[in-house]
Amino acid sequence: MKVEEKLALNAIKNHDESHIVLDEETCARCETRICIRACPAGLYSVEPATHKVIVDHSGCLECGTCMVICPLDAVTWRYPDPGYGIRYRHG
Amino acid sequence: MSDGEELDVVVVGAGCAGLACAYELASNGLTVAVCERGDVAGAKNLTGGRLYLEPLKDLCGDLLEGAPFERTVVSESIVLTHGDASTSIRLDHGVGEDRPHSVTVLRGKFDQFLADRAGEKEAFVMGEQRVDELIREDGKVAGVMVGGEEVRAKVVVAADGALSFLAVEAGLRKSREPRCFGVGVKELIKLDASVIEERFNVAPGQGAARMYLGDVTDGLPGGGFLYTNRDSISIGVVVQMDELEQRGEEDTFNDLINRFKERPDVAPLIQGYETVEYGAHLIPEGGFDAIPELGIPGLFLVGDAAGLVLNTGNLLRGMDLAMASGVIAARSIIEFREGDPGCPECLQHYKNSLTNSFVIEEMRAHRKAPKILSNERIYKVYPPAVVDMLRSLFEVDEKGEGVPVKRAVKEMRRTVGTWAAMRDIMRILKL
Repeated sequence: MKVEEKLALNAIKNHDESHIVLDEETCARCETRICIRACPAGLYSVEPATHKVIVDHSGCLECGTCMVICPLDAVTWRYPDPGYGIRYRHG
Repeated sequence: MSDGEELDVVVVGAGCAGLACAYELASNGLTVAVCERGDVAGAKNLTGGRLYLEPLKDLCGDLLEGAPFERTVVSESIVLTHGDASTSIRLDHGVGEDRPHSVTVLRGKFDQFLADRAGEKEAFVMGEQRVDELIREDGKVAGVMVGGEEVRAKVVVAADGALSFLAVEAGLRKSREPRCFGVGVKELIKLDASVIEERFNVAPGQGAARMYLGDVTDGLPGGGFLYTNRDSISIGVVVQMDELEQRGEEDTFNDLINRFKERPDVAPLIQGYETVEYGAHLIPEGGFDAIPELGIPGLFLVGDAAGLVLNTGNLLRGMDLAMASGVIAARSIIEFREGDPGCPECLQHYKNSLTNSFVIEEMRAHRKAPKILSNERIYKVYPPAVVDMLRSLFEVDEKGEGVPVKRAVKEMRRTVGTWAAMRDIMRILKL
């Protein structure tokens, strides 16, 4: 089962505005792009046209891995606004 | 919410540490509010997971009366994996329902139960209350800002989890270091209770816990886990965060979990399952040496926010330490209720009490565990060596010959290196 299919099973209410913001200039200098492999939800990817690292906050499991693992501190991450984000039904 | 009135305590985070703290405080007549960012308690929480009950008998016995536990763990396994083979050590102990050592839990149900119990004691547990900032006055913390509103209290208890934004804001943690965290990823799969009981050879109400070491994590420090719940199974992996960079380019957590579920020694156990939830959470696994200062006047850290997790390789404990720390913090606050629990002496009282409790004593006793467990050989060298050795002992070749034990052991010693292995074993035995 693909990760997107698993995320689709979760109860989640996505905000229009992303709670994860990347510092594009810093990301452009990044050699590891570890966020892409580390995010358990697979939300990070490289935009084919621009080769930039991008993140799609919808589906975020709110673990914080990307913020902690980023070697360049380029991830600004906060909890989604109240009423939004993942809602674990089982946990 | 508070009409400008000062509460005795505001607890940030309705997880097991925060709710155990709130329950204890409210039971003793203090005014307590619990601010939870999720819509209800547990909505943002995740566990593997299992709760060890024995350490909580005195501290939380009353609170846990009638709690919605999933299953009492009576069957423990450590499984070493290598390709499609594995070998395991299993303990089936006759712990009955009347005396459970440890139980599996799901945080949705469990945390809501704790919140209800705290509510019965008149603690206010409020959902959708994200704490954005601390209020500081006269050199101490005097409350929190929630959605632009002030919530004033004599003490703030930061039970805001592994990421603890409050600990960072208070300067108690400079930054969050990858080496201090494990990334846990879990899939919850549905399976009938009777099917679980049949496949794991357990009676109704009883369950199994299995830990997997080896190529389940691609040989990275960490492991796979499987816990049986009432009518579901929690299955997933934990990997030490600072080792993630070594993982293969195309390998994601989801790949690891999918491969884990397809293992020939796992697939038959879960056949016919239905995935119902997929989650991830950080585990503060830095151990004793990563425990931050436990607070500043008016602010106490408890549970994951204080880094209170103990991983010894065979035990992974967090929730019992969390609940214990919550109750211990509450008792220090209660001790100072007539005066000012926001004073430095009250904080010191908490630090001393926690340091003298099993929580920090156990973590100190195992302070070398994080370093020992980051030894790659435990995950990359030993599982294949042991599995290969055992496999050779149970095989007969085309010439009709088996492998003598002596030769099998010699071969294993050659692959692992006798001295290195002895050194590693000595270290592990010291854990």
